[in-house]
Amino acid sequence: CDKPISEFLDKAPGVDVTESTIFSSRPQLETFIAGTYRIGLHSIFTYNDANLIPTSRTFCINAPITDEAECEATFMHPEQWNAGNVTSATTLVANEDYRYFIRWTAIRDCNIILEWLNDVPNLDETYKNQVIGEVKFIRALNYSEMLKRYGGVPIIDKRFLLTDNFRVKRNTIEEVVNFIVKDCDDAVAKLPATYTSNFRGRVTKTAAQMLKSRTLLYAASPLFNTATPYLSLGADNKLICYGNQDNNRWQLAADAAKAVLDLAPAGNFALITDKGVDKNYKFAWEQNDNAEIVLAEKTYPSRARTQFPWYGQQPVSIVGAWGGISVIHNFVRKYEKKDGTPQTWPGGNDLMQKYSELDPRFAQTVGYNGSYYDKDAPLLETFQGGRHATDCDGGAWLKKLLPDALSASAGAVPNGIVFRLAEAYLNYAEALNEAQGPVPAAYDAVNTIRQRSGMPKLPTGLTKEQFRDRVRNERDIELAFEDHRLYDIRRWKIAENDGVMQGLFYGLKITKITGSTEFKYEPYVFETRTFLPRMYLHPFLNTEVYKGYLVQNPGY
Amino acid sequence: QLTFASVHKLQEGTKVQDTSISLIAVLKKLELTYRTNFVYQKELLENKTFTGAVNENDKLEQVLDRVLTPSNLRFRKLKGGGYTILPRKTAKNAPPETEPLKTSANQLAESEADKALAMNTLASRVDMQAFSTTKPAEIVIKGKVTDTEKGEPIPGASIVLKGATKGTNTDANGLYTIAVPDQNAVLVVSFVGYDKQEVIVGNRTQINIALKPDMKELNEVVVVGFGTQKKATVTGAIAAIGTKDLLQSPVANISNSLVGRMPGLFAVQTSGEPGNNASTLRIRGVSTFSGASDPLILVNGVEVSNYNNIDPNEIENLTILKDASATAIYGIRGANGVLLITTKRGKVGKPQLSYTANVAVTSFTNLRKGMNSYDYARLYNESLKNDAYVSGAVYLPKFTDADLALYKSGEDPIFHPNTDWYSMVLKPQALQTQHNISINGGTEKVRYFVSAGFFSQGGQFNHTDLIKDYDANRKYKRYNFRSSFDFDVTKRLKASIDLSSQTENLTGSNNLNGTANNSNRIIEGIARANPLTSPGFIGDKFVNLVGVGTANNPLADLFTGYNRQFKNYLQGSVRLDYTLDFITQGLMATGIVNYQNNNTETLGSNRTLVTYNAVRLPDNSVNLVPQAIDNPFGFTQSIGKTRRTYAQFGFDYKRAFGDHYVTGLVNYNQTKYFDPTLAFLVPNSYQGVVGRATYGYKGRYLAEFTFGYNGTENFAPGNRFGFFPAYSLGWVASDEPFFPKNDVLTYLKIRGSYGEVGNDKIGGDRFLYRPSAYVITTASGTGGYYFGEVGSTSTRYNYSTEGKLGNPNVTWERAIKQNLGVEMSFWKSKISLTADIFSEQRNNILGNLGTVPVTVGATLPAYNLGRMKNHGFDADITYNDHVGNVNFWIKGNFTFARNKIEFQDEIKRPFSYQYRTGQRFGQFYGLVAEGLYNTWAEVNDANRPVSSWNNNRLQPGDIKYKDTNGDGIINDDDQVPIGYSNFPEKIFGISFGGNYKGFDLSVLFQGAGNVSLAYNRRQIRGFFENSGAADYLINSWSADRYEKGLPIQFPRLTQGDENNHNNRVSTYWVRDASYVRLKNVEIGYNIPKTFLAKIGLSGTRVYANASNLITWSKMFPGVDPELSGTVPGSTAGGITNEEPYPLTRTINFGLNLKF
Repeated sequence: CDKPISEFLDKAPGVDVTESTIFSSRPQLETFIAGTYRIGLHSIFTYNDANLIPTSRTFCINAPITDEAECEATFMHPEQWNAGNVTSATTLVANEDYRYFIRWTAIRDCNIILEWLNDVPNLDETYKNQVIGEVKFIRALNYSEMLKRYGGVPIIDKRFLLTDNFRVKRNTIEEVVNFIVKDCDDAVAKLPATYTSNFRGRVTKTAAQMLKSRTLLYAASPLFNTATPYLSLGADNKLICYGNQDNNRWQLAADAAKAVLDLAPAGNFALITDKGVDKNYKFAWEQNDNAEIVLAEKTYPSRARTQFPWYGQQPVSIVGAWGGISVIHNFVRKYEKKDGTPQTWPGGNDLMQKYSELDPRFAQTVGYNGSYYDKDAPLLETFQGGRHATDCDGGAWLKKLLPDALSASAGAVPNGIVFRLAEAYLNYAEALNEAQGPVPAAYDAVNTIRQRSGMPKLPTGLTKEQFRDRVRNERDIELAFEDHRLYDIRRWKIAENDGVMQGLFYGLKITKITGSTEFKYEPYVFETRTFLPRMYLHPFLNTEVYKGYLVQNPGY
Repeated sequence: QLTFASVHKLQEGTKVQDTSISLIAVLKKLELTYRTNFVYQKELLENKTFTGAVNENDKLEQVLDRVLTPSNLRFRKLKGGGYTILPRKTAKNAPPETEPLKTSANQLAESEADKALAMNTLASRVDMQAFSTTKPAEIVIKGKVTDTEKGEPIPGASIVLKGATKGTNTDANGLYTIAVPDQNAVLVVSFVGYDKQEVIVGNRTQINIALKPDMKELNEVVVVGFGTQKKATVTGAIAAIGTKDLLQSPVANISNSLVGRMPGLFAVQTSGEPGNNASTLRIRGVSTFSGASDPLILVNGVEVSNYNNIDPNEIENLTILKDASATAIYGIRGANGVLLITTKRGKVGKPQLSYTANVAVTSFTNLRKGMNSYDYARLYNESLKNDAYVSGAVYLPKFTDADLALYKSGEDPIFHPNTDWYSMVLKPQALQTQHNISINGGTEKVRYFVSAGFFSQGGQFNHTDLIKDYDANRKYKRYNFRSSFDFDVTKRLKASIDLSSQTENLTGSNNLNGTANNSNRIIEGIARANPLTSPGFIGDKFVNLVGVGTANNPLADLFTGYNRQFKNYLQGSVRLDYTLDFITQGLMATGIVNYQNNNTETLGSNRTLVTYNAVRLPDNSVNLVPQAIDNPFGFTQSIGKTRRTYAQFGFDYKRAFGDHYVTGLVNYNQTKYFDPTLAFLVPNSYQGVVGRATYGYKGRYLAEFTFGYNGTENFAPGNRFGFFPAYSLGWVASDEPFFPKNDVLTYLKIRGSYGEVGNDKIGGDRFLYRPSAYVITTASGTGGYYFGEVGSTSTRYNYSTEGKLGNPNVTWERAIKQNLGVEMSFWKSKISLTADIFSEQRNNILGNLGTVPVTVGATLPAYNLGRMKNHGFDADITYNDHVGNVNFWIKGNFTFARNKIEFQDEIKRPFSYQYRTGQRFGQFYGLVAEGLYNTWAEVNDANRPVSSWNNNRLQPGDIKYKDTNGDGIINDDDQVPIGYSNFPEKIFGISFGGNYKGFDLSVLFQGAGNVSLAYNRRQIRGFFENSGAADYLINSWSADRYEKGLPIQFPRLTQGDENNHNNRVSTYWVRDASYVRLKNVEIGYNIPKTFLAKIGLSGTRVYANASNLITWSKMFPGVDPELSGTVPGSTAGGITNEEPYPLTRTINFGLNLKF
């Protein structure tokens, strides 16, 4: 063609950016790193990000899948888990694991950065090391999120070219764990311990070590650390378990958790202990960027209460949204009394009295009848006929995750916790008990968490099993609604136990007593839930399995 | 008495005289008969004879005229009595009346000089009359109307005196008699299927007229790509309609008035909302599964951004080009067919002003009804009970017996309301008006057409006066302007200047924000609201109730603020035609430059509506508690600007060499489209060279070659340009000498075409060949990522992500189109038929890979991978006839198009019946429902397949599904293709009409077949999240209904979502959506001209027309078969909430005045 004609159709100079632009300078590179954070960081909120995922979204946290809560909007994904409707058909997986499609994009971004980093001009070694550390952390985080959902997945450590063979098969649990640990080790070695305030939110040494701790804890837990998986996958068993039980894995997990506690002070991370025993806990999850937050996802600015992630979590009677999340009695009954003994709930006329006796963390977590909810609903009424009783199966509403600042007239910045330091203490206590029994260091770790919230130390002389039960209960209370419970239940293989993910689920029927400040309460079964063994791991989407490179998890 | 044998015959009346007799003998006899005498020179009359007939009852002077004229003689009355016979003064004279007259239609068409001559002749007659002493009072004309070709009489032909209402018809033998006032009278002779003739009476009393069959259809010129062609020589598949048909539909959009009127054109209207109710058009169905299927739309040869907003009064005709020979000239853009709109232009003549006014009432064709409160509450409890069995929960009724009693009695209208949301939010009627004024005329040198129009359509939202600050009702207003001027600058140079503008204003609630399907939210809100959620409003306050479920007051959805949208489409075009006769005869150069400027502005004024919660106080009075603070309006503004430039230059050649007729066209064109929202923010460009050559031999053998050579920005240099040829042949068999002459099949043309066209588009992606671009998201708000501490150092950072990868090898998608057509006329075009069969094979369809693992983590580029086939046929038939004075016509058209995806890189599926490849595009998949389980015995049957939903806790009233793969488990693997797609495979229109004197009537039925509709959520489910329920859901299965044998249309009630066993996509919810509509009816009356002349009008027509009058379909009541709420080709039905604004029926009254 002659030149003028071909020029007419050529792309005129525009605003498009090519790969070489992105990797031409540090400011350009920073935009891509910001993108990698946005795509790659999981947090306790499973909220949608329509900018990244045009199709599948979920609007509800995972707590209602477990014995923590009930999602009152029947069309949201927890209802399907409760009914045992977890299948490899598209909708369901998309509903829980909405990051399924972009996780691989995050991994690809990490691989691209690793590939290009040395070609970006004028970067100092410190910065380069930091970037390598950040990227390896994000890659490892995405693998660990897949590990806990799916077991072994394909390890992709380089960017695919169009000419490559894309059909990489699943790697074993052991290979994936080792890959994550290797990335974490590299990241810990290269990352700085702290950043200046204006870079809060970037990955630190402590965060990378915490990821390693969590990963090794999962690896050591019964779901994977076994010779026989929950359901047989025949020759491919190693995709869903180690293929042997090795108690040393607990020791590795304990060591990793201990390393977090050791690294934390250098990173200026510490448990919140100075706000008062009845406020420390709430401050730790409510206040953005407090010292206990090791890493938070920071996609969003202030969000109104009618926007995600808040929208679906508030009672319909307050926000007029989608049902809300009610806290069920199966969860409330896990709270010990302030003296460390179990509470009893036989039914009766003393509900407020019962509530007042509970662990201070109860009032900081649950919006119960008679409690303060927010400035628009200073007094919650969940009794029969009360203003907030609509759709309240559990008898109480969720308060945790919703900051007090949030109201009809004011939004709040979501505190998208990825790691909170309290988790490391509980990881350490659990792993150490499994590796060595209830040794003093294990007691110390769990008691630190209890005492800062005004709870007494655990009684001494517990057996390994008793200690295990107490530390698991402690974990459930402390990390409630922070997207741990579903995966803890599965790694402990307790999902089929009555009242965990199967069997009878209780709410409280609360009745006003005329002329009294007290309320009558009566536990009642609001639902019977179903758990099928295959649900110990997520199914891969049929549409992926049919492409022929994946072995489906058993039972689907 | 006449005594000659020959004259004896005359006594019997008008008989043909077989033998000639001497003129002198005739005159002698006349002397006797009429008791007069003649004076003449014998030499003058000797050897002259007379052949023919005279009527003895006629006046002598008339008879003399008849007798003398053939011999070039005349007479003069003598003062003393008698007559003298003289030679004629002028050589020229009217032809003998015994010969059929040459058509005066031809005369009229001839030059002014001929007209002048005719006037002279008349003048001489007037002179002649001056000689008569008695002026005849009335002349009785008799004659016969015959056919020119066969000479057979035409019964029923109409003979009307021009300028009067007086008229008659021929009898069974083609004979007529009519009395005319004088010799200046003009008879207008017409008959369906023949050219109209006008005959000047002159001095004749016997006028035989031969009508020529109307070959207009064949001489008709049709619009084709980059020009026009005689219809007779067209070898491609083309359909056209004119302004009359367009104006019959009282609708806002051109697309809607095409429905059912053109063979080969599919249309689906997916919303009735004013301003957004255009139909989706597809020419011959859908041929690609990845790219767009919209046809290319050109107005006066130039692509436009919007055509629906053109005033139909501006349109001369509209043509669709269907096959490759017609569309290849558009190359890359023509693959989906082309729709050409030609606007009106000025004609030589005095200015003619036309004014049209229409006033119409719109109403909904079909609305659902909501369940009443009592039934709702009762059945809500029933659904809870049913679901409690599934979840294993204890059944706790939500509504107590006391509640139910209150809902039933209606005695507590505030706290136990029974609200009919459909009538609360929607009103039954709205007004639509349209005005158009146009002026048209010109001289030989300058011709003009100017038109201005106004259209306004109101929405049918109710109670929009509750908030005084603004009108929340939808209002659509459109102002149209078009002018075209044609100048004959010199003998060789012609210039045309066109300017047009469409201005649209859309106002209303800001929940109607001006994008497609935007009123869906409000309409869906009506279906979502249950009858007891709120009493709607009390006084001027919007009220919600506490504790009855989701606070949802659809009326309040209307009042969250208002929105104004202004759109303007401005187009200017200059065209120059320069005749190059000095190079060679028939050659012409043409250039067009066109500029379009489109602006949109949307102004939003948003405000939180203060709603009130109704609370009952202890004294039983009602307190309304405000739920928000009354805030001022927030304001948003968005502006869109696009512009398009188009230029074309080329040569056109037309010439006949004896029996050979040759045309040629070659043309360069380029276009640039500027739109700031386009990817990469750079304008979009196309360029190409197109050409056409045609050859005709004796108009009997026709051949055509067309090509488009086009370039696109989407492919790399080297792959960028594509050559798209098309070939076609035609044969007019009925013109062959060997073709048996017969009365039945009077015209037969066979034509065929083969061609290739291309497509370069996949979605809105651009520059497909370029390596992956990165996208930096700079939008504020949620478009970034934050680092820093919240409340102090937190800062938003732009983020970038990797875009779609590029494929340097990507190139043209090619469509091979074949067409075979036949055009026939029977009984002299009493019946005409056009039928075409077509097939299209698309190869190299630009598609996305379907089998690439998600682990790649990137968006892969388009590949030329797909294959798809589309084939079918279309036909139309017209029948014209008359009964007595009533002329009538019947037309029918039918189109069938079926496509099949032949390759699309589909994932492997466990069962062969699951493959989408091999099926039609948009094919629905679902389970096969085989009725309901009616008893526990059936449910508990050990052989009952296990349901993978509801935890297999099925109960009576649940749907029985077919276990397709026989594995004993009902799951998604049992899904098979069900029904069709949501885009019809068959579409047809049948219209008929006629006229009688000044009245006319036309009726159009339109329908579609082989189409399915997936009911959306709100249509088939109630109670879900406290949502409302359609009243027909009362026919849901219950043990009680089953035992009583009451009708059961639905499975047992549930509040579950689409994961519920009963709510899976199945044949229960995907239904046959074929329909027939009484689409259009028009009755008109032309007021007689004699009456009008007094008030200075040259024509007046009053009419009433209506659209969408009646629909017959198999849908549930209140569900329109076209309104699936999903875009054509989508299979998303069943899980969508979309509820489009319902279709409307329009009843319109109009008046047209011509000055």
